[in-house]
Amino acid sequence: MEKMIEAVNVSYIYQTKYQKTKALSEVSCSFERGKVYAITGKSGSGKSTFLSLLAGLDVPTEGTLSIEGQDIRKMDRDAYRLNRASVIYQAFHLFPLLTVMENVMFPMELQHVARKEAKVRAQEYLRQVDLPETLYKKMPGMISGGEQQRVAIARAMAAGGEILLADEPTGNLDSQNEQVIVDLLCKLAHEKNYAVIVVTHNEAVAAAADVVYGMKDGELSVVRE
Amino acid sequence: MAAVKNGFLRLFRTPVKTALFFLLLAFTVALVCAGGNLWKLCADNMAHFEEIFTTIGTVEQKPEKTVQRAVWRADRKTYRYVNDPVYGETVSPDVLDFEGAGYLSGPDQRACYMAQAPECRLRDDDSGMWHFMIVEASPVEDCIPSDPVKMELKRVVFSYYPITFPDFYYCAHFEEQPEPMYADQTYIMELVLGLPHDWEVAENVSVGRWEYQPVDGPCSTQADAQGHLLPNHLSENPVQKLEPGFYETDEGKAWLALCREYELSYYSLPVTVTNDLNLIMAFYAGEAYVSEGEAFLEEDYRQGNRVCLVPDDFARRNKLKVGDSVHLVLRYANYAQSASMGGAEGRLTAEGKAYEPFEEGDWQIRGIYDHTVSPGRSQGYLLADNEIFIPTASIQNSNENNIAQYGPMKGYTTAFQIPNGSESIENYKALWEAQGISHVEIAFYDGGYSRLEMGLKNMEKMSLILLTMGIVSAVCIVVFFCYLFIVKQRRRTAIERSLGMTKRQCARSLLSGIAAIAMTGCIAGAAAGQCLAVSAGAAMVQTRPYDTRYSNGAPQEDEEERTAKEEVTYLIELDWQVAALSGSLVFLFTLSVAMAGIYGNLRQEPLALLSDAGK
Repeated sequence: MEKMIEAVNVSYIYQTKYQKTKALSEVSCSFERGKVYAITGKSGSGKSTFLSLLAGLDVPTEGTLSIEGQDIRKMDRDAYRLNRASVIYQAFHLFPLLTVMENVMFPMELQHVARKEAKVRAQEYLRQVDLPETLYKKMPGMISGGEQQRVAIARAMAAGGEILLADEPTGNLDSQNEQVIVDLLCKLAHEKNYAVIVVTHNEAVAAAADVVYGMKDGELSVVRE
Repeated sequence: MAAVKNGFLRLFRTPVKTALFFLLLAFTVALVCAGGNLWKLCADNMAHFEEIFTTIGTVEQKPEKTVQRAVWRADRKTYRYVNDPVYGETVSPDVLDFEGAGYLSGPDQRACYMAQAPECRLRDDDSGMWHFMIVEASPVEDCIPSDPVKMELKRVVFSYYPITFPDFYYCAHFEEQPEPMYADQTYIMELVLGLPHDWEVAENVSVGRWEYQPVDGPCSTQADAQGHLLPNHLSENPVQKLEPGFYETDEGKAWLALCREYELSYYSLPVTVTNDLNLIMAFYAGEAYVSEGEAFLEEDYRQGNRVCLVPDDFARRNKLKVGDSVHLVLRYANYAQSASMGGAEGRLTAEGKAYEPFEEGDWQIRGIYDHTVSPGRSQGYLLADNEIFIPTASIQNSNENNIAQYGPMKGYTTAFQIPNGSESIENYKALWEAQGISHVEIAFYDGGYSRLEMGLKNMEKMSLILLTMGIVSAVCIVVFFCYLFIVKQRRRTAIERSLGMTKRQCARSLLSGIAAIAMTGCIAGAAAGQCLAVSAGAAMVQTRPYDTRYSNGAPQEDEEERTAKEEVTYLIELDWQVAALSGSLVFLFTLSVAMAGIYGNLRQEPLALLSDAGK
């Protein structure tokens, strides 16, 4: 399969006024469409930093990170996040003052999709994540954690990208909702051809992944392929 | 556009917070605007009043003691008691020249000059001139003139008016035991017409017997340049026996000189010199004002230009207009009295001669003044008929040999100007007290400026409190709401960033809403503040009447007059620029704080923030 994302000797150093911390050390790996990747590791091992680089929120200090062969340093990374890569979080991070529907419509509005069309498409995405229609006009604070995470996935789908980055997506969910979300992520990868990269502590989530990487002290290793 | 729209949408979803921000911001801007406006209004009014008010001090040497003098009243055969002041050593005006006094003009002890104006007509008619004469006369019979005695008129030595009567009644009115007079003797007498003895009991003037009373006689009060009285041997006797060859003696010559002096006086008018017209009480109080032409210019005083101010009736009588010249021959100076108090007590030099001119020239009319008389004014402060004002420096020759009288500083001869304001007055008073000269009193006149200033200063304090409160509360409110609307929204910024919004879009999203509310709040607040300031300004005029009375030396005025003067034009027009500036500054401050908050938000690493939030 074609490599969607490729990291070659990627290192990242946090530099403060008084010290430098190497968060990632010569990480090399690749991610393909249609697969679910899990990156496991302890807190502070560098998982989130790597995810941040994958999301284009920062660039590697050393090494090369390329998206479909294009160096991320040379890309418009805002456009990359807007159109190609979406991130979902443990704490869902929906806009609390926008309704469920407005949250899903938000990325499309940024892409200048007409409001009517954005609404139709948002409804479609929400249906795909099995969110009851009665919740569309509710505020995120009024729905459950599992529902919020489904909205977050719908919002990620609405951006229309092919990369879904998830940072502990089931961390705040009960086991029932956890399974729903894992299934949803697998479905996105296997049916919609997304490259799904999940940073997680959760073994169940890791077990559902096609490829599992382990991260320790900033170094990435293949756990299961 | 979507970012901006969502920015607004979020504000509308928190209406209480948004409304509170709007209202509080408008309130603080109103405070700033009202405070700023009132402060400016006070400053404008202070400057305005500073221009139209002046503060003068008048100086008066107080007598060391008073001595009672008994004056005989021949008509009632009793004594009338008069208190005469005793001044002791005359204090020089130099004592006023101390450090820190801060004079704007003066202090100077003004001289009033007697000057001939030979080309001018000084009076419309000679009424009142006939009651004075210097004559040679003999009693009809030997007598003691303790009561009116009939005198035969031998010769008129001097009179302003043709004397046609052959005899008259004479009484040594002020002496209890006058010297006897003899029918075979002729006397030279300086006389003035007095009331009949039986005036008070008469129902009609014609039933009384008019009598002449003695006045002055040849005397001198000439002083040297230091103000010391020059010794003289003049008789100071208004009635003297005539002996053969009398007019060849020094005494006789003095009598003739006195007649000459009176003759010259007929063509003389008073000329007052000044370094500042404001130091003349009548001008200061507005009782005298330049009705044509203009007042003296600064350069007139400085360069000693030969210009003058003449009274309007004098100008009318002599058909003079601004720009014409008046020829003046200055003969003697009087430092003891103002023009309205008459000439010097001694009209002759210490040698018993009439004063010779020491300065002569043409003074061009700079302005013509008109004047009214305030009923409360004492004699010294009034203006005299035909009184002409000239700049002090316009007299070029020294008057040291022509000082007919010198006396202690009086309010009507000695004055100075200091900066306006109670602070200035109090400062002067403190410095003056430190000089330790207790018998020289200084009275200040500021036309009510101190009261106005006090009112305005109170208002200025209020306005500064308002302004400070406004600024402090504006800072607090802006910082607090920027924290709520921006800093606390950093997770939202992180989400937006992770969703692909550029930093600029994120900034716009955060700023648009708060900027819109801040702008409307600032506009509303500025308008409200302006209205508040207008009301306060109007209240200021109503609650702060103008009071012309201030000081310990101000003459008392009756209530009607005082009320009539309680008119002063306050500047109450407010400047919209202050409102605009207040609103703009608060708005710009809000934008600055918001931008700082946004910058802080955007510096946060989004994923770290959002990941940490979850954990």
